[in-house]
Amino acid sequence: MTEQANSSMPVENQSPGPSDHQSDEDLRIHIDDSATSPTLLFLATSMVWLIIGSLFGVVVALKFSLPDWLGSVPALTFGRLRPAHLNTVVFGFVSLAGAGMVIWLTGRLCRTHIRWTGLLYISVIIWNLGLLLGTALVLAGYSEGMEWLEFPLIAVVPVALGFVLFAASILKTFANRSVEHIYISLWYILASLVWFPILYVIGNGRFYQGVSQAAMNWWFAHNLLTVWVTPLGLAGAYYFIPKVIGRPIYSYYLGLLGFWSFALFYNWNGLHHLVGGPVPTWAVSISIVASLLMFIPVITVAVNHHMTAFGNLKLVRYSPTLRFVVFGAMSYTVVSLQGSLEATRTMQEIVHFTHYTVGHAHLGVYSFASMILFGAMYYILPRIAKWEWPYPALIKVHFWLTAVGVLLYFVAMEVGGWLQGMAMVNGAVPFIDSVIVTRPWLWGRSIGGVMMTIGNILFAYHFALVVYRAGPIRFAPGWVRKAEGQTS
Amino acid sequence: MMFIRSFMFFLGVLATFLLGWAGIVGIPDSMISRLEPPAGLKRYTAEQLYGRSIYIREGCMYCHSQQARPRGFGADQERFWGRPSIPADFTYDRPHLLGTMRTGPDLVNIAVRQPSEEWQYLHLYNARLVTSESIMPPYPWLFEEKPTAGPGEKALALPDSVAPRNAVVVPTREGRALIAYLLSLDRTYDAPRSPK
Amino acid sequence: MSLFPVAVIIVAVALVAGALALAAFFWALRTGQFSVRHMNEGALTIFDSTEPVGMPTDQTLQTPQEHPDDRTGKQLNAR
Repeated sequence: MTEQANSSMPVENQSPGPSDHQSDEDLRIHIDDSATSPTLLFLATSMVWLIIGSLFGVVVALKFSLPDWLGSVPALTFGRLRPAHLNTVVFGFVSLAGAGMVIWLTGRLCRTHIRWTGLLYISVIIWNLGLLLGTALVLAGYSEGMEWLEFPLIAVVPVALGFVLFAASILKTFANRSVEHIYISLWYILASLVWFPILYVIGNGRFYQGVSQAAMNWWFAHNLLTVWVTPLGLAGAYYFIPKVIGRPIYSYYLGLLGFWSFALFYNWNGLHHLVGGPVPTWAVSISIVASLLMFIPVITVAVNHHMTAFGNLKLVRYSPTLRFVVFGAMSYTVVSLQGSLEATRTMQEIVHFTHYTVGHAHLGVYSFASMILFGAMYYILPRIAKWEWPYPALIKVHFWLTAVGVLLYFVAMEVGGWLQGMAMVNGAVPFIDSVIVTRPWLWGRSIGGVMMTIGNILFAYHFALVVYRAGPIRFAPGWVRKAEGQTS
Repeated sequence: MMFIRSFMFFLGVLATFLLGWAGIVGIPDSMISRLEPPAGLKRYTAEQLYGRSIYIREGCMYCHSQQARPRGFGADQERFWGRPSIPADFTYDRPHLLGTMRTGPDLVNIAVRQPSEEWQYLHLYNARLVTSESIMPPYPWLFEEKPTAGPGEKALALPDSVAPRNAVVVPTREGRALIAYLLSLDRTYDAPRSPK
Repeated sequence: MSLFPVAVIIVAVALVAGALALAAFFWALRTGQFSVRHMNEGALTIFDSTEPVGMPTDQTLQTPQEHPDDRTGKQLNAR
């Protein structure tokens, strides 16, 4: 890197006169202010779903070890709580927090204030209403019966509409951008805005049945990661790692390669969820090949992030954002490489139908995407609430509880799942052995899950403190004082 | 220039998405939907469909699969779970219930493997009554307590430790329908010869 | 059921898609999308004169003495 410490790039192409500290900083604060209310609403409601979804998860986990616990309450039976957990954490927490991050990020990356914020207010309301309705219906027994597509139409429609309104606001803001270059995070964001509505409609439509529907089901479920969850995580990582460290992305060209190979290959992965199943073999083979080809985009991302952060990793000591985002970005590399190998027939024979896959899923959705979203929120919230996080100790506890919790969860599930699979493919032992062998590992999973949940609750509490400007006033970077009208 | 770039980006993004859909959903569907339902496959009766809706409501597919794997890929054949499943076996399944986890065993041919109604009811009431190590949830709300079994009803043979005093336990209409559905799960008819 | 028509469709689609992709690639090459300057500018978009390259922008956990703006130890005024 050869840039000097204050290489001043022209901020706006059309602004007359020199850009100085006053205008750059004021513009940034102005943009952040325009995003404040909608972002805050999306982030705050996402925290509610984080708590609800985590609690569902804990109960579900414990039921593996205590199957008779709460056994007389239909709404709390495993078969209803499990889809409630999945839908609330992904369509609730991850989606709403991701949308909030996208709103704020779009303002920053387009260097303009957010447009059509009215749509965002409507969006957050109907999106949350849809989630509430869908969750209640699933618990009451009105599931549509397919994984990730359980919500009845009456709940799907408000969520879909909410997304479309959100997308409209982002696109309008983008159309009014005052930057010449479209930053790499925006590629992922814009792509997701095109992809997700189409995916959601095809998935929730009633177009198929039988094995065709199964193929659609798993194309849909995996593409949730392709078109939404992963773009959110990568958009965050590509922005916050260089932004916090203060160095540009190592190789923009690698980023370009990474994006298009991602778009090309990841869309074909879906049928690796049906290996060995009653699906045309050639189609499954294509999915396995595509899963292995993912090495290309995943390694480009890993190289890019690593080389950007190289030599500056000690900054994780001071920046919670960097700490969480780097943890998430590393998890992305691990979970993706694991997934590529997991998709092969050799691995699938043993781990399909086991807890191994569930562990892999949590490494992706929590250890990768959620940790990056936490990091994003640590950066964004003080800048919109104009209040610094009051308790650094709470941040550290949040980090260690969630990091250790998810790692414990992951190890327990991969070992337990592997043992389960080995017993399952061994025709000489009774099936029940594959259940018995997982017992201690399922307890480990519950402990990990409880740790993550406690960490999540502490974060939600800290989040509320910032929003309500409670707790000790802490030293804050200059921009907060400037915004409050103080002179240095 | 900017517009062209944006348009090409939009096209590229759309194309990568639709190509994927076409390859692993569209084309397989066009092949599968042309398959003839096998002669041995019967449509579900109204009661079996009702029972299937209970299966979905209680989320049974989150622990049980319904797809037998071929010999050499897992031990499904060694466990006598039925011949390898083919796409046509699931012609009338809407939604599909192929499942992705085997916390419990595969059920695609459970009617052949476990044809006893009594066993099924007992197992549904509380699986640990028949398999002590099972972690399947209990489903007491699919049963009801009555002073005596009504005409055509058969009381569950519960052990004294769990049997209610001065009452018997019989399945509700939902419980009966669910078992009717389970006892319809039989795909052991010969697979029609199909070109692969 | 013969797979030949399916294979023809897939190969045809792949060829067309590949041709389009190649065309886009060469267009991009010709119009200078891959120039080093272009690439670097893209990566620098996220910085500005007050948050320039070389300055870390988040030190929430850092002690006040080490923060360049807080060396005087001044606190935020009342809420």
